[in-house]
Amino acid sequence: MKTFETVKYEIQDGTAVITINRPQVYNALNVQGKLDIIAAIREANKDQAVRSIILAAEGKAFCSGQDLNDRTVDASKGPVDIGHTIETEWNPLITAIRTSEKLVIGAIQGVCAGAGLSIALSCDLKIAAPGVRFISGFSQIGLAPDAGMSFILARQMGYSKALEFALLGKPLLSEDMLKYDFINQVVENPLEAALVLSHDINQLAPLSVKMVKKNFQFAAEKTMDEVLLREKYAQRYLGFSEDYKEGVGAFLEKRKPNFKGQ
Amino acid sequence: MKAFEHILVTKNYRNHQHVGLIQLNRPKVLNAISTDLMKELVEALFILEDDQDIRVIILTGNDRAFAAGADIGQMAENSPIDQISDNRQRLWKQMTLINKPIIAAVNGFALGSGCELAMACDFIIAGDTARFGQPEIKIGTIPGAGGTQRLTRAIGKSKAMLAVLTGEMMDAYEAEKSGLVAKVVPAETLMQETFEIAKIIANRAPVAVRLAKEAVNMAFESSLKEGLEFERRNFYLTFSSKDQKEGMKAFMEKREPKYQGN
Repeated sequence: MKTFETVKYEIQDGTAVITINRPQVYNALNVQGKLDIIAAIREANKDQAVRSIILAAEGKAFCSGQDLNDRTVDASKGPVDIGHTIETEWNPLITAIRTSEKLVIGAIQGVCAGAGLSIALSCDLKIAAPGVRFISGFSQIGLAPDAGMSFILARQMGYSKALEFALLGKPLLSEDMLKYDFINQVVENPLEAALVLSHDINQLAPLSVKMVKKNFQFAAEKTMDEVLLREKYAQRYLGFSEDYKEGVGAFLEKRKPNFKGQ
Repeated sequence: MKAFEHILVTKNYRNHQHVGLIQLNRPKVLNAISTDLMKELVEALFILEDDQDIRVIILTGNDRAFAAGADIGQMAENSPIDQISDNRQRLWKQMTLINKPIIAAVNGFALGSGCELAMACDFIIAGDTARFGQPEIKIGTIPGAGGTQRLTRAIGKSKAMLAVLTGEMMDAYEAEKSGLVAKVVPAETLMQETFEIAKIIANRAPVAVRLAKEAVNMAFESSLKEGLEFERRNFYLTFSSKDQKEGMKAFMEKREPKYQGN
């Protein structure tokens, strides 16, 4: 099994569980932290035995975003190019989650702040413990939300609510996040619930799961006509797959399908 | 079909008698374009060109790369004389002698001479993960097989300059927006959708397809006046073919035409 410096990586029942493991700093991410998550997601995508991924965290926080002690972003001693940090660390991390062909389920507890919130929001499915505090925090240190947060907040909360949340620094709680449809479930034990959810996903046809994810991401950004076209491409491709044959066959024979990802 | 070392050639791609496929096959080096590969590619193109059954040629790489550039190892220590004595330039020129349509199906990287190779085809269909670029400037040289010329004609001076002077890549959607790519499809569906397009062209009158390709290419080689003159002559010429008679007759009789290729 692969090991990483700042995250734990284990496989349970076809699900790769990636656990951010810097609890002493509320799982703030330094360079290594971000690179490790990216590498762990890649590893899970390469592994034929893995069908979905859970992103969880150790300790009192899910993730508190950028580690401000990192010399690349500490502006107290001189100018720093955060654009570079975003380009080489944060954007690749968010892109790794978004382009992961296997679904990424966020199991969220404690606090979720700054770009840590961006990570949570970019997961495909999200399960949070009750009372988790979701904080933007960027405006409190003179920055603006990054790592894709503006995109997701503006689309999902609407412009004015998103601005208020991002600018004034007041946390939203799990219950609010549920109301805004940011998360799927609020439960006492998010990791346990994520494992149950991933078990169901692992029974589905992998090509179908991957295509649904890609199509929905595409749909969130494009026009109806573009989506209609893409759905045609995707469906033609899936329609020629072995798993579709198996899926229809099982349906007609009233048995459970056995999907192979082909 | 003769066996090649660096490419795979399929005469009846997906059992279609009129569609040929050439797949670059040096996966370990992301299909780096060595002189030997180029030689084989041109030889295969001429075999398909001379084959009366083939009407459309698809050129592709693999999921990770169409072709990630020239074989740098092969040329790093070369003198100008070595570069001139290499017969690659002749091979590139020979590619332009193919009269049948060549479709580039691009997934992954099309960089340097890989991008130039895609541009030397008649049009490009890209998977949504494709990336294009002319990174030669990063290693102290410049494109040498059409990168400054074909790219500029495809996307205009400003965008071409940005790409050639920085060496940075552009993604599939940007390439589509700027006119380098004809169509973007989900990466998984690239070969299926390229095949669908090849089938459409294979169903058109071969003489007209050839004369149309010639006429479009003339747009890059002539003044507008000369180009229009050339186009008109090719237009007249189509009226000497039986297929033109058949095409117009079928149109009036509201049925599908049956083209014989003469």
